[in-house]
Amino acid sequence: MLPAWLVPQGSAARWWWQRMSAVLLLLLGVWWLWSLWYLAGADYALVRFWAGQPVVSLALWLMMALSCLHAWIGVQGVVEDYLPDLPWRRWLLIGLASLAWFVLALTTALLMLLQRGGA
Amino acid sequence: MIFILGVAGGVAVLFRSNRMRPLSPHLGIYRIQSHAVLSILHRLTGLALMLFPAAVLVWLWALAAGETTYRQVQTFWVTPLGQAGCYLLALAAVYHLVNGVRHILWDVGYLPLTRQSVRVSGGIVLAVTMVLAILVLCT
Repeated sequence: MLPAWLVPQGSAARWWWQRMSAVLLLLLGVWWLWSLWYLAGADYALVRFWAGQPVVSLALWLMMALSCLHAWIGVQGVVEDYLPDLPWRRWLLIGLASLAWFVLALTTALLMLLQRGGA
Repeated sequence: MIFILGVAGGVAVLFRSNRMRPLSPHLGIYRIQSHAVLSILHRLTGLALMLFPAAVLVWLWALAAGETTYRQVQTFWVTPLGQAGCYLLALAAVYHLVNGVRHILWDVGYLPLTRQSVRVSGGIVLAVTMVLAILVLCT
């Protein structure tokens, strides 16, 4: 059992969130592709302005958060299916979950920085 | 016969060997079918797609770091390695997405889980993936 403060608990909840995040990521992925097409060849100032808009910032954060959640649930399933249930597997899972949280924290910090027009 | 098997089983248990236990499902002689290939591809592409949030993170970091850093990072995507990586990631995303839709359709009960249906929908997934992959390659 992995710590409750680190990873979402409960098989049914995980199953549900995997599907929900998949549907939302489908929509956000289409938006992301459209944005890449829209921003193709744009200069730094325009991209910076685009990413600084609150709605864009929120969508980017949501895309990253759901990517981390979806990836975590998937990777946990793969690891638990194919790797033997030994102590190091638990540490591997804790490491991967921590990595997901780290990515999310860094994303949040960078998006806040872009909001302020900082750096 | 049963006696010999029993003795052999007992010896195996004594030596903590798994050799006498029944083997299933004979993966060595099992003919791999399309559903198994598509299933493991879904997992493999899913693992590869962990690179996606990493790439977006690098992009955000470059954007926050300033114009010179952003330009330097942007030049990487124009190199053959960057282009190939970009295309492979897009290909993985397209397959994972299309096959993911099939999974969702199974979950809501829209697609029946019969052999025929699974085979046909698997073919459709591959066809749609190829069309989208060619579209991505053209842009």
